[in-house]
Amino acid sequence: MRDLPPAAGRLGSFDGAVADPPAKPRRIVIYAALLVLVGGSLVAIVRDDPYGKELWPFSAYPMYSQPMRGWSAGPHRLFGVLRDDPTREIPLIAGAYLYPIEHTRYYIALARIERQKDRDAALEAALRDTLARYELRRIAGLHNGPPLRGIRLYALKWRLDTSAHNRDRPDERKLLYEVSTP
Amino acid sequence: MRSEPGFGCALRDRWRRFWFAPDSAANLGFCRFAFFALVLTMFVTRDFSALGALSPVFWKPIQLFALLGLAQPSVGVLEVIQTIWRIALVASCLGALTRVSTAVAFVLGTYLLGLLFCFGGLGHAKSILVFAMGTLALSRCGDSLSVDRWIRARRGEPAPAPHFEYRWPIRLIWVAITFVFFGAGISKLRHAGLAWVTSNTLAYYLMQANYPLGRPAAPPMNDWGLWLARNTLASRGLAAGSMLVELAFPVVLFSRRLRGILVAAAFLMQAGIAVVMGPDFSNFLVTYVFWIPWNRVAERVLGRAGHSRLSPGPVVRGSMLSP
Repeated sequence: MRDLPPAAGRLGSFDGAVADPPAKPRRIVIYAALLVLVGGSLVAIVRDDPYGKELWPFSAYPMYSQPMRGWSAGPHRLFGVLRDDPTREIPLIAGAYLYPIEHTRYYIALARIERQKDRDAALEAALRDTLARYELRRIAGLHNGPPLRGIRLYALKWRLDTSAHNRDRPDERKLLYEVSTP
Repeated sequence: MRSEPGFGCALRDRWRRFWFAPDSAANLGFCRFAFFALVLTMFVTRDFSALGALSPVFWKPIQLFALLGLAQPSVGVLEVIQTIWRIALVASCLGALTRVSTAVAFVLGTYLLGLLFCFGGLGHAKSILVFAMGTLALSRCGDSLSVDRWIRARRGEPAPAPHFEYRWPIRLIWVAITFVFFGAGISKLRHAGLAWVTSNTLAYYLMQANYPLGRPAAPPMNDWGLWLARNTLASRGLAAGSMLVELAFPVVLFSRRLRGILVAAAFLMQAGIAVVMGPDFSNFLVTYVFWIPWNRVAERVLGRAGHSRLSPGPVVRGSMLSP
């Protein structure tokens, strides 16, 4: 790239000034970058891929765009079964428990795995891997969670309330899959 | 006899002014410094190498990775890549070997950030960083406030004059940011129409964010969202305001007067969403450095009428208020 001219002194505002457009090779680089950005963004907006299946790094930015379909929520979530007391469970939603996959993406990945043809085998592998990583990180002191003997995947359902008084008590809880240490 | 310039000429002049009017090297230099410093702060402790140890059952390469035939990397490979990336971020921030360091930061950053999405669902949160790093890699952002510039000054080379090379990169990043907001607005219109405002959709999301097991993102900073959800006028008013800001955002590219208002409104909107709903917009918030006319800010702070320390070249009007 050519060297640019040095400063020539105070010249005041350049808002009204129009520089000569760049030389052709440089112009091509700049406009190519603009074309990629605008073209990719327009394609993403037209395709309108759902959240989680976007044409990364381009996106239609569909977060929070879906209209409400009632006051209920029905996520699938993992719970850890305590090693010392199998009757007790803790939700696996903290980032430190699911590391290195972030909470949001972990559950999108799990939803994808649940839709796979080999669902049971894939869920078995995914939950075992999650349990093994949880324990490894716990033993290494990377989180303060209790020791686990297993992991359960539940389908939860709530009717949302404006006081969120039922935030820890879903109306429905259905066990979908479970793994445990031998 | 000369005729009046036509609409086409005026449009062309406006286009050229937007992209190629001379601008301050110091402004772009400070944007480079601030942007890479913030990116470094966000990712310096992030260990990407752990992704290499994940079960292959999670591996679902994004289209970019599938296209390039990239497989799940090993822990060792990721350790090397993330170390080089961090070094490149530091060098880009300081402006050392800037052309090389920003190019390395862009290529490896795109790889590592894209890799995050190969083990789960995709997300668009980090896309803007890729666009900004790519733009800076193509730019002359190391011509001021950099180690490179310091070395040139020691050799007796004068400071660079205002030039279009210091303007178009910031404008290109503005365009990228514009697509983020405008795309989000279009998406709401497409999926919900005006019902996104007139129904209780935002109230629903505000409530859902307060259910730890039910929310899709990080926890909100407080439960104010519940109050907003109970107040129909407030939640619908916020929904209307959000959609208006998103759909009107392209105006920032054309109107000096509305640019400051819309950028400030967008910042407040994102900060507000993070406070009451929880999603982490930190990746996006760092790109607000490109809206601030740093050379003018420096002049005001330093109280100098002539050349400021941050503006070794001629003083030009900065980002936010330039056409």
